[in-house]
Amino acid sequence: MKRWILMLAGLLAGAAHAETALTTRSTELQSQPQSDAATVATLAENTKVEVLIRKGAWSQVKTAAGQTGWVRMLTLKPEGAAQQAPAASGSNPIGALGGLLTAGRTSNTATVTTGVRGLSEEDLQNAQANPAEVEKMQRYSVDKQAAQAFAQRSKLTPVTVDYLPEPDPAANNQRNAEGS
Amino acid sequence: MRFMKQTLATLLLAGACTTAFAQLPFSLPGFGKGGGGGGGGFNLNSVGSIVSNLTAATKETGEPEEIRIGQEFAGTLLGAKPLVNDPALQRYVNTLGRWLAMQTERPDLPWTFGVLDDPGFNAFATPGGYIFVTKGLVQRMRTEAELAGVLAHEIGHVLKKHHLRAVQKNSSFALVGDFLNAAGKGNAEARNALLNIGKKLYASGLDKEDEFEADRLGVVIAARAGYDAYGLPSVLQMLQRQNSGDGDFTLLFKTHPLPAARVEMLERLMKDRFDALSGAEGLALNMRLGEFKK
Repeated sequence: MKRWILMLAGLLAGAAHAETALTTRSTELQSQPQSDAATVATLAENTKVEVLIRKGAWSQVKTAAGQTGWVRMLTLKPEGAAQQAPAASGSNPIGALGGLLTAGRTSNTATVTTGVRGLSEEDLQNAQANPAEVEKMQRYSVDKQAAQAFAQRSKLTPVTVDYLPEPDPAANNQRNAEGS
Repeated sequence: MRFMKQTLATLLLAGACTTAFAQLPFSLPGFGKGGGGGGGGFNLNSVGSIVSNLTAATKETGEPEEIRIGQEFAGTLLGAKPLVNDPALQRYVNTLGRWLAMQTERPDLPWTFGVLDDPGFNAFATPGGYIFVTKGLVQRMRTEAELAGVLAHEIGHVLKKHHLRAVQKNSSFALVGDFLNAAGKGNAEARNALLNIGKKLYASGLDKEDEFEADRLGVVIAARAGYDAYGLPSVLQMLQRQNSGDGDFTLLFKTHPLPAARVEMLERLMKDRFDALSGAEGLALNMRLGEFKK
């Protein structure tokens, strides 16, 4: 089992190494992972890049032209992002078109479904309450002192950060149009 | 405003009269649905449901009840999948989770974290601070900051009482009050009603907006705890790459907005806000397991 996990981890690490992505918008390729760094090039939307590493907000990428630099990680999307059928797929012409375009790759979700292995709706429906396991879980809980000690030895320093604002309603509409 | 208050008081009073009827399994003569028509008719059933909506919206469920509901839902999730039999893993996730929860406005809830013995990829929160991740999720995390981001997203659901509010909206929640007020000795029927609401809720998921809100909270909570704020976005990009036909992801994809939409919202809001922070990636899982075996 352990060996299997290690092998899987190795495969994933290998896959991560060769990861390619597309820019989601016109993006500046910068010499350093900071916003005031020099611009190496401007990448058009949908430029294919190879992702080398990620450092916080920034991903180091290499272009087909051989240029290396940094872009904000959130301006990247996986190349050929898997076709996904969300809960509320709604009627989104863009999504439907995307589905058609990737149809050759995954045909449709029904045919590539390998069977639910993870915790499923049926598992939930058939679940009998297990209070003994709840008690067991509670015995593993830790107090604030233990968490504090963990943070100290891990050199995790708490910082003050405000919560993010809600997106404005206009952006919200746009998101729904793009997202569903 | 004053008028509102009076109306509310009247409705609450009416509510007090109707609760006794609400549990009867039959309609009272003269108060049947649609009886009389017109605006003048007094429909007791509809007033009752308005009142229960009003009370759900205005009267907060107390924290002890919130915790009680959370324990019941935790019992259901653990009835579906037990804990991984790995004390070091369970202690580690509890410690990391507690550290994250301490950075929030509800640091003193009975925060309890568990890793479910399940190959799927999912995470769950129940009211009052009971949080679960599956073994399949933990194994796929590439850094501790990613795991912190996922736990922080779930903590966000608890902070905003997303599940509790969803439960309160359920039409059969009125039945449950009985169970909660009876200090552990509620009747079996009411408890079953609660458990059934929970099963449906975890199978169908929260409102999309609740998930987006938990993402917004999650990146901040992880950053406050000293972690790289981009752990959660990184997990969402991993999900973008994931084929939704994979059976390990079925329930997650069914119950959450598209990862692309979640990434897109975070991009819009995070911008350069976290640039000045030097958030940690944390330690590798195998190092942590060694640490917590001691």
